[in-house]
Amino acid sequence: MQRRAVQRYVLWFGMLFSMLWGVSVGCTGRIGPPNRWVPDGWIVQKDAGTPSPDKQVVVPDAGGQETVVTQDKTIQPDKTVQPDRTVQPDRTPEKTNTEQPVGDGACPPINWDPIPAQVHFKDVLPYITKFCANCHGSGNSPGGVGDIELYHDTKRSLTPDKLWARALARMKDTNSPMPPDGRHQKTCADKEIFANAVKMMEAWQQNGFLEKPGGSTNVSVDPSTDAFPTSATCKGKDPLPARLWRLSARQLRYVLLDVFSSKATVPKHTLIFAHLDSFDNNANESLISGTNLVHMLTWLDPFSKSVIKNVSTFQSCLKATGTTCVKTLIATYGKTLWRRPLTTAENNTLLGTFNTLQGAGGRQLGLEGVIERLVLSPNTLYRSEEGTPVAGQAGIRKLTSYEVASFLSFTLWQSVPDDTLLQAAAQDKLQTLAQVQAQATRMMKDARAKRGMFEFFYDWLHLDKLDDDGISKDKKQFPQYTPALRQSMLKESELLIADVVFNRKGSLAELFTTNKTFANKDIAALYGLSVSTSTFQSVSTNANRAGLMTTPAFLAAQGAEFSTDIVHRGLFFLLHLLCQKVGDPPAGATEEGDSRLKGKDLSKMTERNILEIRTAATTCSGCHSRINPAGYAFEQYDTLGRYRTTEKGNLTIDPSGTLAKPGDVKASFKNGVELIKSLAKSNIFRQCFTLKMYDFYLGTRAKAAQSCEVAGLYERMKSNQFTLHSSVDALLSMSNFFLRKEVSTSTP
Amino acid sequence: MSDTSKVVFGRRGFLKGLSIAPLAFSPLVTASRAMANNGVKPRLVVIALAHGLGGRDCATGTETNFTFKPWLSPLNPIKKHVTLIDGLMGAWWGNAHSSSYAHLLTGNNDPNAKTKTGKYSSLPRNPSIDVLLEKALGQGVLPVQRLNVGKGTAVGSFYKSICYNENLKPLDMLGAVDTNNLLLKNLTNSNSNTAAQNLALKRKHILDELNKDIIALRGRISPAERNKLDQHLDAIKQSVVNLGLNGGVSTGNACVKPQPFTQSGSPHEFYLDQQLKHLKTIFSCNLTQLAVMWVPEGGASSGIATVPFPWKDSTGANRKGIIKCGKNSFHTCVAHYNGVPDMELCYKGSVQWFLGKIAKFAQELDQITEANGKTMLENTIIVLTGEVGSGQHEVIRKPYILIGGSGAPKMRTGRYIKPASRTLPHSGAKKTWTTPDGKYDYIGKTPVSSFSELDLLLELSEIMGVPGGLKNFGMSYMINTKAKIGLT
Repeated sequence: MQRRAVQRYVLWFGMLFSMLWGVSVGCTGRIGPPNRWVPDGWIVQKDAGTPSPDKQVVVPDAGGQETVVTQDKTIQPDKTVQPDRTVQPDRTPEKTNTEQPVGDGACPPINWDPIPAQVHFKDVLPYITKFCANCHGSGNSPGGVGDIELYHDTKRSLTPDKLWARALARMKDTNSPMPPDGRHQKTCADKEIFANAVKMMEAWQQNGFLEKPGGSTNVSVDPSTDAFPTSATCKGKDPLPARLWRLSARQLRYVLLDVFSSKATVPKHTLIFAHLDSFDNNANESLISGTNLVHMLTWLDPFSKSVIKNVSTFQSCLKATGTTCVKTLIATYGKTLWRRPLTTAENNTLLGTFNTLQGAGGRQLGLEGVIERLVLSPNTLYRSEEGTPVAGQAGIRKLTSYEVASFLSFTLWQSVPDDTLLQAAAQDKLQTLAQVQAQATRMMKDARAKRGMFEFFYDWLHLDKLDDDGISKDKKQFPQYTPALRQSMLKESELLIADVVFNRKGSLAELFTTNKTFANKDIAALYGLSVSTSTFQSVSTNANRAGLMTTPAFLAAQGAEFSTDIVHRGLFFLLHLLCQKVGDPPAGATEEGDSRLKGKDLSKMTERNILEIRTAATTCSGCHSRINPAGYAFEQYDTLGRYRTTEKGNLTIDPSGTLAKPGDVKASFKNGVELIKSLAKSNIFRQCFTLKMYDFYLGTRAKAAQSCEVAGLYERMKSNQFTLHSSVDALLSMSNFFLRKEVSTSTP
Repeated sequence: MSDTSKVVFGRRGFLKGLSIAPLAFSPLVTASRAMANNGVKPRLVVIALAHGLGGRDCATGTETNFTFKPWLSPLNPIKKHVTLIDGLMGAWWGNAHSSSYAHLLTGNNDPNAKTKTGKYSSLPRNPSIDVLLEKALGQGVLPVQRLNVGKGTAVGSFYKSICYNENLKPLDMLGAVDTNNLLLKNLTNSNSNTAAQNLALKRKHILDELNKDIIALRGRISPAERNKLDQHLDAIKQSVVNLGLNGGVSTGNACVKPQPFTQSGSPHEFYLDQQLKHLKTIFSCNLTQLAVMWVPEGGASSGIATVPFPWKDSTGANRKGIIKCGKNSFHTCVAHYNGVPDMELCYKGSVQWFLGKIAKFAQELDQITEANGKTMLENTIIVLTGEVGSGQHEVIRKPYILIGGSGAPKMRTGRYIKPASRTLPHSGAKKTWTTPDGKYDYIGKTPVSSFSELDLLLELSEIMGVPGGLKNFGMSYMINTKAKIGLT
């Protein structure tokens, strides 16, 4: 915060403090501080810590925080605490006419210049508390505010600009002021403080209702917060911090399949995880919990047994004697799983495991122990991105060639490096962009690259919901929604993405608008096409389809159990395709929505009509005016993704709508295809896609400090017309592929 | 009653079966020795309901001669084991549903720090009491077992956990299915066959070695990343106990590995029944001294709305299940009765049904005699609480029901404690009291308890063996420093 702004805040807070403690004439009509009650013998202090009994009392400051001051007497029950004013900090405002009563011309004119500094919630909270909370506080909230002193309640209630603007206008309205009766403007100081409150709140609105400094540093596409960075406007190019990055559940599965062959019994879910707001490979959120460790130990036993039974090198070693083959297995599999050669000490300790367990339970147990220990090792489960110091660049670390090899292979294949890549690492030939690009070109020709590319879309588009128990459909209405159909849906998406990216070398727009896809018998039935076998073949869809977003996989994953789920399809569109922010629903919204439908025959209303009524309330419409239209666009696709023009018999579906914050997407659309085609060529979608790529491939949300990396990534992809195959080159060009920032020196 | 241990420790047989001397001295095995040598220790399980226990004024009479109100009547058969506290001021004021996950066991809350999803709760400012107790009491009680009834699978990092670790991350709470499949499936004992012994041996060895590997790695990485490995180390400790690798101590014949189950009936009732059985197993097999069980009542597919619990309406007619309305949610149709007699009766009927389950569970524990001659119930304190004190979200006088604890914890039970009341001075201003965390609407007309739930948690921590109780827990200004509730 600028020093001038700080000084200004000090002044305002000082004045407010004076208001609260010196000349307060609030709703109570009392002179003095607000009433405070403290139970008998209770210690009141700022936060947890060692209290000093009977000597402290809380005094609020203008910032809404509380300060501990010494008091000479024990707090008495049932008495308002009256702190000794003599110990209050001196916060006398600079103005000298603060207690002058309001009268014509009695007060100096208000300076309505806008506040230049960035204003956060904590800055406006004292004013909200002072001027708003008594009438709009928790449980008593005209205007639909929840607890006005909580950021999220306030923000989500006030985010609809109309309500906030209306409130501010009332606060400045001399005829119908709010708060009423001029109750807070009885002196010149009151007026000035109140005016400052209005200015602060206006500035808070202008700033996009920021929560706290540093709290909104993610790079954003949402024009209501920060503009998407360009090379000219970006704020930083800091490397990411040195880190450990745990493998995702699916990465670990691919690693085991690649290293031990598909003959081994690899569980579908190697790790238990909750689906995150961000990608499932988020480096900050991916940890090992006790639940996960027990889960892994549970499947590791049958897994290691299957390896010994089915993988020839282990089979033969089981039958051999001595430790020669064991040493070979440890070195060979250890190097692949840990993505680097093992040290002598590491080889020895793993051999120790074999010897210990062999002594207790035989050679089989020894080999099982070696396999399980290798897999469970932190060297397998975490990707190291610690790097080594760079001479002449304080605080900067360069990833080692082995670390780059891992980064590259998990980026392109979602799995471990192959021998060629590890060999390049051994020769330290992964330290320049050209060296890495050469490897990447080779690796993109491998079948694993298609799998790697699909993983990004799988996670981004939440297609994981189709796996297992992710999302169910009503069995009476949709009996064909079987596990086999779900896998076919996923397969179609996988083939479509691979075709556009690797065969056609197509663009992002092509992927989202193409009418060429793949279908087997079951998928063809959903499209209304005719394919007679269970083998996938290339097909052309009609004009009612447009690429990935009209595939059954996407539509079923975003559809509900009984119906289409307009809200969640719309939300997905805003959150994940436009990267816009949407607030949480206010408390009681569902009940209020339901109450609006009482007495109506829902069977004779379209889902759109029902939703329009449910979300018409002021508290709902702010967000739903944005969410619903995007969901309406997909109403012509049922929850399995089948095209339709009517619902509930003969009710005509209206898929048209108008986006409230469209960016450069055409705001009004006739149907989903028109919306998708407009979206596909928009910059806001490309920017969002860029951010999603960054999040996924770097395993972290893009922060302002790395915004130049994001800008560079976008601009490189734009220069390649967002050709997806070329996106790899754009990714490799990021400095984060090689560099990390030193956090601090570690100690054992 | 002497606390002298007569427990026959499976650990000895376990190690003998292994015939591996080095394992016996590995750090993780030796950790269990402390527990083995100290005999029966007090146990604590906190069971929390979303909408509380029916509200204040839940009994009449004196401290030792009292009568439960109807919704508490299932407790009559175990009345001598009950300590009814009517009630305590909640640690957080306001709309408790949105913050209770964070504050319920932490006594603290940071309303501006939200969980990952940002949908349900804020975050606390200190770990939950189970984590602090686990740390304070040291090895031998590890790890806390955390169960949930709302789902069959684990909930945690991003969904409604009420337990928080030292990094203030929500901790996993196992659902009934996971408890069965992950936690208890691996129970072994000294009579296990060779294959089971080999499996235990292998896992134990791997976890010990993994522990060393992670400690070594931890020393090489940047401090900011160490918390990841710290959690990994905690996970190892937890797994050792969860897998029965610490030589779980059997108590009589009560330590029985549960059979795989098939869900039937109401999911909510099924999960509740299973988790109570699991709790009994967990205690019987000495998998921990500390447990938390979370019983959310909501949820479209597994909430209490699916349970046909019996109750009588205002006409005296027998009814079953929740009153239907709108989304048929317990929260809306029942808990927020707001002066509607049938809704209130239905809500209290659900509490009565729940307490029937708890009473049955307590009676089962009371059938198990432990090494100190006391029953498992007497050695265990069951703390029943809720996010709120009543369906109406009262948080200024939340009832707490404690069951058991007269054995190893040495509590005086069979009591009705009604803390003194106090009325807030009310000047007309709607807001009368400011917490350091922000202002919260306070009714200002209602008498509040002179003790808070923090006082109870801290007194319990002392009973559990932390000298002087935990320090730096919760919002210290809520702690009554002049008096104790007086549980012992």
